[in-house]
Amino acid sequence: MAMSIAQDLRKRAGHVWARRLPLLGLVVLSALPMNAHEFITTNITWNREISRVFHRRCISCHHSGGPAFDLSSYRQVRPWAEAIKHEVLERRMPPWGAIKGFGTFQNEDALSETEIALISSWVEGGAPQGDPGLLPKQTTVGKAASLPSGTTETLSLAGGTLTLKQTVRIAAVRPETLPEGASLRLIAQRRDGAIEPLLWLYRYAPRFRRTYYFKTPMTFRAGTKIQMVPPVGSLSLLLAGE
Amino acid sequence: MLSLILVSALLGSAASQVEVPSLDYVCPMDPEVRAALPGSCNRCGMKLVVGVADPLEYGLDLELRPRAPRPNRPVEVFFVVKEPNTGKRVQEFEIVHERPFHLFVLSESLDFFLHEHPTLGRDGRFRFTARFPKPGMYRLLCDFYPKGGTPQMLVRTALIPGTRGLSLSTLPAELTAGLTEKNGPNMAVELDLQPRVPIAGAQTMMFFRIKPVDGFEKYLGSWSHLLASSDDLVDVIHAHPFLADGGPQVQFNMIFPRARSYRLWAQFQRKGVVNTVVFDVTVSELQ
Ligand code: HEC
Ligand SMILES: [Cu+2]
Repeated sequence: MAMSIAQDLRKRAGHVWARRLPLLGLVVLSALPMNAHEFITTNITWNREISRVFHRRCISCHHSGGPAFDLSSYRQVRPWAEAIKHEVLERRMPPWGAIKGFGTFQNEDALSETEIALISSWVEGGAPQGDPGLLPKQTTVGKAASLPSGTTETLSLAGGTLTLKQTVRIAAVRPETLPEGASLRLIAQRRDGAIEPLLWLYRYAPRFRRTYYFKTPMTFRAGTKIQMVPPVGSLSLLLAGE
Repeated sequence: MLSLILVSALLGSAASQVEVPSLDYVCPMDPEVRAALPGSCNRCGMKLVVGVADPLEYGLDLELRPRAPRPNRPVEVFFVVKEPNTGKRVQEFEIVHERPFHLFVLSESLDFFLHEHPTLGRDGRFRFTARFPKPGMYRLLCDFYPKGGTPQMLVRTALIPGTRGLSLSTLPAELTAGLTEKNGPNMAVELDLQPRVPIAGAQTMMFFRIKPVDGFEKYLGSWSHLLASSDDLVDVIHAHPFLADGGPQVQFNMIFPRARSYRLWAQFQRKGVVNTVVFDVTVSELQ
């Protein structure tokens, strides 16, 4: 933690200040504690906009006792501001692992373009706290999507193309063995020539492996080709029951 | 206008931990624009709203007809917007920049760009007729604002088959950075960046300079529309000017997300003619 605060400071000093005031910026910053007055150049605040995004998209993992460090209050979040901006812009956090708008999913928890812009502008503008009266009243931790049960049968796609032998309803896709950092797109080519986007995995991180549940199961007739581009590993297609 | 107080001054100006009057009115399109009193946004003209909205994401279904379109033939493109909680079809939209729906279409190689405005039919579907010039992947950025909701900026994907199925490119689009002046049909445009080489995650100020300036007019309610896409089509960003007044300079501020190449399409209108100019920029890693 101490390490990352130092890193955070270095990054801030490096690009928000040093660009304009190379020496002054560094000197002043290193002399001040973390919550000292900073240049605030944004109207976006933690209490108004950012806390709401975090409650929806981050707190389910980032709470005390959860799988990741606590990000539920301004005091916890502020020292991480630079790292947060970076993770969000690189699309590593939240660890959804897929690009939005290529297939639609019921358990999707990626940030929208608007939310990414909001968070990065807030951090770039000095990550202000804002009016405490605007904090959300109740903390609505993002509801866990109720995922279909009874998906027992799976089809395996190991590299390249799978031609369906019978009509199936695909409920979900699950990465099996893929190299760390791999990106791929999964598409379905129907018999009538129509092509549909299924899933675009981006920089696969095995420690965040998860199953991608389509908004509604997709029906494909025999002869449909399911194709992975580039063919870098293996996936399971989870079939829906009746 | 007087009531509009913009605290977000130019980058690096005054320190402000000072008390500011409570700026309860906010532009739904641009959360940086605040005011103490009701009015409309000086950047986009939207009516300012009071209170804190929860920005829920709406459903958006894309349908192509025919389902397997041929390159360069007309395709009917339909969009259905759905309410996030009930899934009900949404039929009422705010007019933003003179239209209820702005659509940008990009090809995978980024050599095709379209800014279109699907129209709302009686059945509550947005539709328009497109031609996709080549087989491949197209990303569709959809910008709309359901009444009672918050502005939406959603991407969808259309896949256009070739004669032997589809071959997706596994390489990013080839872009060559260069800020040399570009020419539209009746305008020349220069671009100046600050910093000169944008840094991923940091604010970049982009100054477009146009000439000649006589006859320069708003295009769909804005002095300019800007679309940026990364070479891998992962980041697709739509922006409006930070500062513009009808003079020769139009300023945009943008945070480029990642250290990659980006293509920018900037649109300006002069004497009724829309000029779309293209610039490629390379964004560097923070050192
Ligand atoms: C599904 C659980 C989950 C969600 C949701 C999630 N995170 Fe994380 N996050 C983690 C875990 C686990 C780590 C620990 C580091 C690792 O394993 O990479 C982490 C690490 C981080 C880090 C530190 C990265 C580093 O190594 O410097 C940041 C910053 C972060 N998350 C921000 C966020 C933000 C902001 C959100 C919401 C927009 C978010 N996370 C949502 C699980 C999650
Ligand atoms: Cu438009």
